[in-house]
Amino acid sequence: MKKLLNPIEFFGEKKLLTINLIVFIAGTTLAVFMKATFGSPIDLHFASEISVLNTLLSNISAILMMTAILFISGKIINLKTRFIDCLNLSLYLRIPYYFLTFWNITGTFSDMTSKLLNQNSITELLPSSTIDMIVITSFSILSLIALALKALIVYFSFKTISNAKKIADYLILVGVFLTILILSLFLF
Amino acid sequence: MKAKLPTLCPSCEELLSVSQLSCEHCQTIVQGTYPLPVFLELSPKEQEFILRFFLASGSLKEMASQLGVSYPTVRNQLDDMIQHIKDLDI
Repeated sequence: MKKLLNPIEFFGEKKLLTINLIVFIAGTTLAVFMKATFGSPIDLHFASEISVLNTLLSNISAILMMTAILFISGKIINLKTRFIDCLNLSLYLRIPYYFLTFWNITGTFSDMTSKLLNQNSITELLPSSTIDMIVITSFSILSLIALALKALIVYFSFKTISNAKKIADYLILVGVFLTILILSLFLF
Repeated sequence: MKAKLPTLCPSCEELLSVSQLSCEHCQTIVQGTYPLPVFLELSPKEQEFILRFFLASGSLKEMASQLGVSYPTVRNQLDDMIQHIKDLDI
């Protein structure tokens, strides 16, 4: 469990990068098939129609954004913070979202997005069957679990990456995270 | 069994100092108050780390592979030890 929550502490950077890149390719391919796309490091949404390039670029942009957040805050706390560790953590943090894309296997979310674009009434968006209801409810719960898991991974791994110890160190991370997230809204 | 040199007081757990040294050859005894060398002021874990670091020719990457952990983990341990030694105010 400790190795899953903080792989940076136990595995060498080359080994981790190789595994992470394989997972990245597999995860992006899965996301394309499940019609998923990513807007930011904490965003996952489904569309009725997507392009391979769009999903790939959105995933790369989410990874680079998270890498920048970790690297900038890591450098502020400890100048010895390495880029490769930040990149590895960013790639690793995508894994919970790759699993979440499975929840669109029945196309529930793509259908809802399509309806949202074509209808004005919110009642049209309500789940029409029990299966849809189960899919949406379980997705909501699992999304929250995925977010909590990501927060835990960041907490433990950032400690290894930057030797962060104090609450102030984590406040720097949160500050840089929010700044880059807000800036990205204006830039993209 | 080789006796282990105590560095902490068994009563109050404060750092001990050297008050007597003796020559096994001529039985001369030197008395006084001398502080322990810095190396002995470190915890056994830290002493072991320094020895491993020395035996790995100062390579943190080599140490990391020997210990089965990553490079940043070993580097953080070293940074913490450097800070600890600075705090000892030697």
